[in-house]
Amino acid sequence: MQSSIFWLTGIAFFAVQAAMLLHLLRARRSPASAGDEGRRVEIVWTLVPAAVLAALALMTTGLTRGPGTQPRAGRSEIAARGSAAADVHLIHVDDGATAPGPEAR
Amino acid sequence: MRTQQLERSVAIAAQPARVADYVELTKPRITTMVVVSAAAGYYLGSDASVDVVRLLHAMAGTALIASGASCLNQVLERDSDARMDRTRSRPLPAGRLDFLPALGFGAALSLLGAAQLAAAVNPLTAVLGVLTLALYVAVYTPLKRLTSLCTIIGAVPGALPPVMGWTAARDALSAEAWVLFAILFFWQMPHFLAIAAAYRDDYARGGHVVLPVIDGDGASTARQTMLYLFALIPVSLLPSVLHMSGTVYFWGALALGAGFLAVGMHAARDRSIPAERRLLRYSVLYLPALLALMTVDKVAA
Repeated sequence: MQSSIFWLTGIAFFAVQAAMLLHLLRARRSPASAGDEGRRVEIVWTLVPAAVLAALALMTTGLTRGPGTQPRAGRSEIAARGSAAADVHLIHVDDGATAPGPEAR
Repeated sequence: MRTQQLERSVAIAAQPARVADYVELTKPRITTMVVVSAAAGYYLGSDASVDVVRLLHAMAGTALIASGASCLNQVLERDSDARMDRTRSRPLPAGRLDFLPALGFGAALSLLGAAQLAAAVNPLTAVLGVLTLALYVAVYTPLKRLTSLCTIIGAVPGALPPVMGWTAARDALSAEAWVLFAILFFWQMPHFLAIAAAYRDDYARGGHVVLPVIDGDGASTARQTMLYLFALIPVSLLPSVLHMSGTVYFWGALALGAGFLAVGMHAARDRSIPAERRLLRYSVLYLPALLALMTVDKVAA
């Protein structure tokens, strides 16, 4: 249920953003609008949240991994390994590969 | 009346600088919130046992850098502060402190903070601290006179403290740290837009190009407030989705976010100063409540 709510709130955001962008783009196209510069600035304002969320989505799905990134095992993964108290940390090693660290139980 | 005001100004200017004036330069309430968010980031980034000594060093270093940044910001904005009702009684525009001692004070705090973080925490956190300082003082502050996008840029240094806390604990960046960043980033928009809308005339007097000042009818401000609130809600749920925090946090964050959205909607429709101030008050309560829930319901390491 939590997952569904999370996705619903995300969809709500993108719907609001799309509606807002559409409104701003239509307003820009209308002739002789004073405040055209203001609308350009507001379009940037409107695009920024999507850019931030897109970057965040990439990072949190593990599609980008830089040096030192330490993904943490989720509760389902811990349960599957049969260790209620474990929290596996993967560490970065010199050759760029990742390997289970000393905290792995 | 004018004679009385003049006499008062002369009296203020004649007072020697006090410790309280130097403290005021550091914007203690903002610095406290910065340190609290850094501490939350540290705790969330820690394993089962929290290294309290390192935490204290991280908090102290963050406090020094935040204080230094606030001080340097006031040095740079002393002229515009003198034109604003909200800020004309600050130490510099009121003449209780001179420019050079304040500049030296701010620089000293900033250097001390960076040195503390580098020596007692780790270089990564020190770099983030210096980046925060540079963005706030050298980028955001000058841009306030040029473009309303300064608010977005200023939200970046405003969102870095919990990341600093995280890196202080782990000596590494990770996706979870950026989730904390995003929460603070999106929170700042309705918070700051409410301040700027409630004090729009004052910001205009100060020459600040913020969205409510350039937005004649308040429609853009209302739209952007709502957009960033809609973005904040799913982002605020991510700690549960990523197993940083648990179920209690999830429902608490959802309730807090729904409340924020409701108050924001009212402010967006009403566009009155009382409604903006109500939104501001809610935003001030929202963040500490969210961070408290996140830490209390942290998924055990």
